[in-house]
Amino acid sequence: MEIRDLVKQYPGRGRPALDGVHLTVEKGEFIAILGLSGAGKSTLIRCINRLIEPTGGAILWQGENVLRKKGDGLRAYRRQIGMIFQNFHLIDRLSVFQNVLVGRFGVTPLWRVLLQRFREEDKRMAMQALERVGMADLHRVRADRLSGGQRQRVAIARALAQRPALILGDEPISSLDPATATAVMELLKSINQQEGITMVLNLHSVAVAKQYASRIIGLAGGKVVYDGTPQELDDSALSVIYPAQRQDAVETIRR
Amino acid sequence: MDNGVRLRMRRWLIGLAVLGILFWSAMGTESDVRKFADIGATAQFVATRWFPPDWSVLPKALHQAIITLQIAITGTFWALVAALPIAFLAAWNTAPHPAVYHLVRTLLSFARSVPEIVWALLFVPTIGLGPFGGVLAIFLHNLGVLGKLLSELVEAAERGPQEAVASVGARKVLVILFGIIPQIGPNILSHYFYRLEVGVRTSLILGFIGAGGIGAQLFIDFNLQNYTRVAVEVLVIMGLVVIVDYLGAYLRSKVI
Repeated sequence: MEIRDLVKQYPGRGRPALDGVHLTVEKGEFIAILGLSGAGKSTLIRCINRLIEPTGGAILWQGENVLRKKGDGLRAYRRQIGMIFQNFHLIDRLSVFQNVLVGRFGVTPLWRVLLQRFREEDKRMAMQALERVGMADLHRVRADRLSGGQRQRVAIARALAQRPALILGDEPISSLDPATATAVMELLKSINQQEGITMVLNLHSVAVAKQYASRIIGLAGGKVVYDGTPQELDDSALSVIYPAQRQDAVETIRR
Repeated sequence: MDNGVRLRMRRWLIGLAVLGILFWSAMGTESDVRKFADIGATAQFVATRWFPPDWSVLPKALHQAIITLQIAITGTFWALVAALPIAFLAAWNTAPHPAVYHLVRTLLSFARSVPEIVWALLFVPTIGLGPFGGVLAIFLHNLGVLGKLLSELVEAAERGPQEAVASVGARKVLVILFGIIPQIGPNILSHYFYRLEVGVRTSLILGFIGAGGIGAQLFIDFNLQNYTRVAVEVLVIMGLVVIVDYLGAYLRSKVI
């Protein structure tokens, strides 16, 4: 995937949220995006699957500009990209299994969803996804009965049920306690390595990013200010990504 | 003039204005507490003309009360069914086009600004007097009310689940059905039960203009000065309203 000169200008705001982002994502990468709040991390992630409409530039996916897609074409593109969120965004009143089946909505005929007559194949894929994240035994439980870590696992299963090529994550561990966060990162890492699914995650912890990512993108003021390996991410690079921070604050972030 | 004096003067002026409006309204309505000196007339009227209640009318009154309830149920239920899809056209986040949004909002506002009594009278040439006129009147008014209330719920629904459903490549219909409806379902029911309670009281009033039910019977007996029957009918109405209010409150507390 190649992102070219991507711009997002929200109406009525002065500076654009994304100000000409260039980025190439290779298959199988584990990319962590770092940056201050307001640097454009969430906007970038949402522009990739067009939950937010970019105002300029291009995103090439397998050679096609996805910003031109609409209707069925756009939905076919989104099916290939799973997404997880800081607050999980499960449907609280439905069961774990029903939530994971949402991942199959993109390929299921409308009448089957409306009548809740899912194909055996889709149910099997949903169940496999739940087994993959270790939540199969809780598949009948209502989603709002789960803990935060369990909810994020179900959300990951929903994304896996899509059989995606890429998973986007908007601060996927920010509302979890440290131990649960580590377990979720380990799960994402193992999915990345075993299933070969590309990961692009917004993270706010430099330490976590350095530990898990194969590549780190630094975003500041809507521009890419760092693009390199975790090893190369030194203090001077950090002070560019977190410009307003004093050096001791950078120290805190590193820990 | 310093600020304190100005503030005190303003308070006095506001106080005088409020008093003026109250006095003006009392004058216009000939409200005069001194008239209560003659309260004995009412007591005597009730004591001599309403008693003993004519219980023979009870079966008929109960039957008519059930019709009143049925008018409210039919009118508000179909209003809910019709308002549900319309609400998504009248919510800015789900309307297919801004023009649709404005048009539907205007129509809804029109439907609820016309009082039920006017709707009922309007359709007399087509469907005549009777319970169905009441149903239609309650339906149209509540379509406007519920359409607006539900569209506000749709607009206030949390974005997260909608994003999640859209991100898997699902159709817009499914984003609405799974990303919005489960969140706002309990609130929809709560609004509905409240409108049902209001609908029962409205259908009593609609009876006065010929829309059937216990309201119509009360009105007829009152005009015929059958006050011993009126006494029973009033008790039945009180029972109906109390039961519906209690049930409505109970159901609303259950769904939330």
